[in-house]
Amino acid sequence: MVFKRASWRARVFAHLNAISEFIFRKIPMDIDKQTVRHIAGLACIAVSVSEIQSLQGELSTIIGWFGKLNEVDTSDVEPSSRASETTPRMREDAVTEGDRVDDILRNAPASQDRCFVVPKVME
Amino acid sequence: MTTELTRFSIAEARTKLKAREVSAVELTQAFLRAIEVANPALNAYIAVTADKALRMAAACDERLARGKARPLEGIALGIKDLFCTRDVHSQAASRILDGFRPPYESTVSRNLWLDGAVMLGKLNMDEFAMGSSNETSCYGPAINPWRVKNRDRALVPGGSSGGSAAAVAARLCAGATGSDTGGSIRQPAAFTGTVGVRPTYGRCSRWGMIAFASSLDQAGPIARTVRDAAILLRSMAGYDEKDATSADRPVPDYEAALTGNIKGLKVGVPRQYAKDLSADIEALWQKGIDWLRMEGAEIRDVDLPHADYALPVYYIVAPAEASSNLARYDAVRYGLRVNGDNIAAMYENSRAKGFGAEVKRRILIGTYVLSAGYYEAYYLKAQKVRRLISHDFDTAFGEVDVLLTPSAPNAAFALGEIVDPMTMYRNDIFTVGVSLAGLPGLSVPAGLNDDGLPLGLQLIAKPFAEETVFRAAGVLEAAAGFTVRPESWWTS
Repeated sequence: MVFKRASWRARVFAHLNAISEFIFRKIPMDIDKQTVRHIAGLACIAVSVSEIQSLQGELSTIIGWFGKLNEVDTSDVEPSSRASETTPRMREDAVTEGDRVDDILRNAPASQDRCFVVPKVME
Repeated sequence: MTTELTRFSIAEARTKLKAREVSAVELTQAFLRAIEVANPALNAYIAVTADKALRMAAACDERLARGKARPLEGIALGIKDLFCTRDVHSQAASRILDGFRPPYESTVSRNLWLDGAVMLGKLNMDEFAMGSSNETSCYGPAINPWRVKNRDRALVPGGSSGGSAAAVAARLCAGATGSDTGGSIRQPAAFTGTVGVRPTYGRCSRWGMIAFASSLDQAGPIARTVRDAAILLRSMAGYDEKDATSADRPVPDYEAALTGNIKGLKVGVPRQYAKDLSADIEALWQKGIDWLRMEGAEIRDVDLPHADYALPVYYIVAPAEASSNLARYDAVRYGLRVNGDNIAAMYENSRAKGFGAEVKRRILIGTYVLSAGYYEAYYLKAQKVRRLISHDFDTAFGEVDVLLTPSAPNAAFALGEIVDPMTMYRNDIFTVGVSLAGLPGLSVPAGLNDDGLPLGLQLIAKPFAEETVFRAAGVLEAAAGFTVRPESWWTS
C-alpha cells in the first residue's frame, strides 16, 4: 500500500473513519425495549407498553437496513450536508424585528404578565 | 356554467382576466363552489378561506379594471398547510399545532399574494410532510380524484403534498404550493396526472415553512400544465434575507424557456434506476426516451453508481434533522398542551398525544442515529455517502444536460394498501437522490397504465438549471399529449 503525504488532520480523519466503520460492523442491529425507552426519553415522548413493543420491531428493521451503507467505502470521503454550494450573503448583526411580545404570546397555551406559564420547575 | 370556469389553465385564465371576459370574483366563486361539492369526498382542503378569497378577488378585479394587473392577478390557489399564512390555519396537518394561527406570512405565499394571487384555503398533507400517501394527516387522508377503471375503491393521491395534487387534479384550484423533502411534490404529481416541480435547494425561501428536514426542504408548485408550473415558480422563487440559505441570484422568466426546441439537448438515462421496474413504468420510460430522441435530443446512458444508497441515506439524514427541528414542540409557546405532574411529564404527554405514529417513528429514528455512540456509525456515514451521491450527479452533468427517469416506482395505490413503513419508504426511490443533491426535478404526466391511472416521468438538471428542466418537460408534455381527466365521480 502506498501512503501519500497526508496532513495530520487527514490522518486523524482516516483513523476516526476506520474506528467508526469498525463500530458500525459491531453494532447489534436489534433494538431492545430498554433502548426504545431510552431514545423516547431523549426525544421527550411518552410511550406505552404496546407502543414500545411495535416500535422495537419497526426500528430494528429500519435501522438494520441502514447497515446497507456499510457496503460503501467512505474512508477518504468528507461528510457533506450539501444543501447548496453558494455562500450565503452576510448581513448586519442587528435586530430586524423585535418587541412583538403580544404576537408571540398569542398562541401560547397559557400565559400571564407577558410570560409563558409552565408547571412548577423547582420546589 | 360557473364550474366550467374552473377548467381554464392559469395561462388561459390570465388572458381572459386581462381581456375582462371573466372576473376574478367569478373565477374564485367557481372554485369555491367546486370545493363545496368535491371536498366531502376528496378531503383535499382542511381549511377554506372563502371570505378572504372573495375579498382578495374583488381587489384583483379593481386592479384589472385599472389595467394594473400583476403576474398572477386573480389566479385562485390552494396553499399546502405547511406554509404559515397569517391568522389562518397552519398546522402541517398535525395535532401538536392545534389552534396555531401564525402572526406572520411565509415568504413563498407572500410572494404569491404580492403578485396578485387569491388564496382559497389550506391543503391537506401528510403530518409534517412525513409520508408518501397523505395517510398520516391528522385530518384523515386526501383522496385521489383518479380511480381504477370501473372500480370505486379509493386511491391515495401520494404524499406528502397529497391535498395539493388532489386539488389541482380535481380542479379545486388553478394551482397549488407544495413542498418537497424527499419527493413530496414529484410523487403526488405523478399519482394525480399533474405537473410538480421541486426547484434547486435555495431557489425558494424556506422562511415561514414549517420545518421538516432543513437541508432538504424546498417549496415548489403543483399545476395542471408545465407552463402553469413555470408561471407559479417564477412568482414563488427569489432571494429572501430571512432565509440565509435562499439563493441570491435573479429569477429567470421560466415561461420563456418553453421554446419547444430540444435539438441537441443531451439527455442522460441512469441505468441504475432500471432495476426491478414494473413493466408499465419501464414501457413509459422507454416512450419518454423515444419522444425526446424524435424531437432531436441526444440520448446517453449515464452512471449513478451510488443510486442504491440514496434511500437509506435519506432515511437517516431526514429523520435526524426532523428530530432536531421538531424538538421545538414543547407545549409552551404554541399548540397542544397535555398537563402532567411536572414539566418533563407535560412535554412527554403533549408530544405523545400531539404527534402521530409516523412522526414519532421518525423522531425516534433521528434521535437514535444522532445519539452518543451511534452518531458516527449512522449519521456521519450517511453524510459521507450523501457526498458520493451528489458527486455522481455532478459527474453525470459533466456529460449531459438533463436526466430522464420515472417519477415513482408505481401508480397510485389503494387507501390502507401499504401499512409497512419500509414498503412506503420505497415509493421515494427515484426522488430522494435529487433531494440529497439539492437539484431541480420535475414530474410531468406522460401516460396511463393498464388500470387507467396516470404515470409520471421525472426530469432532473444541475443546480439552477430549472429552465432546461422546463424546456424538456414542455416537449415531453406535448409529445405525450396527456389530456385525460379523472371522471368527476364526486359530483354524483
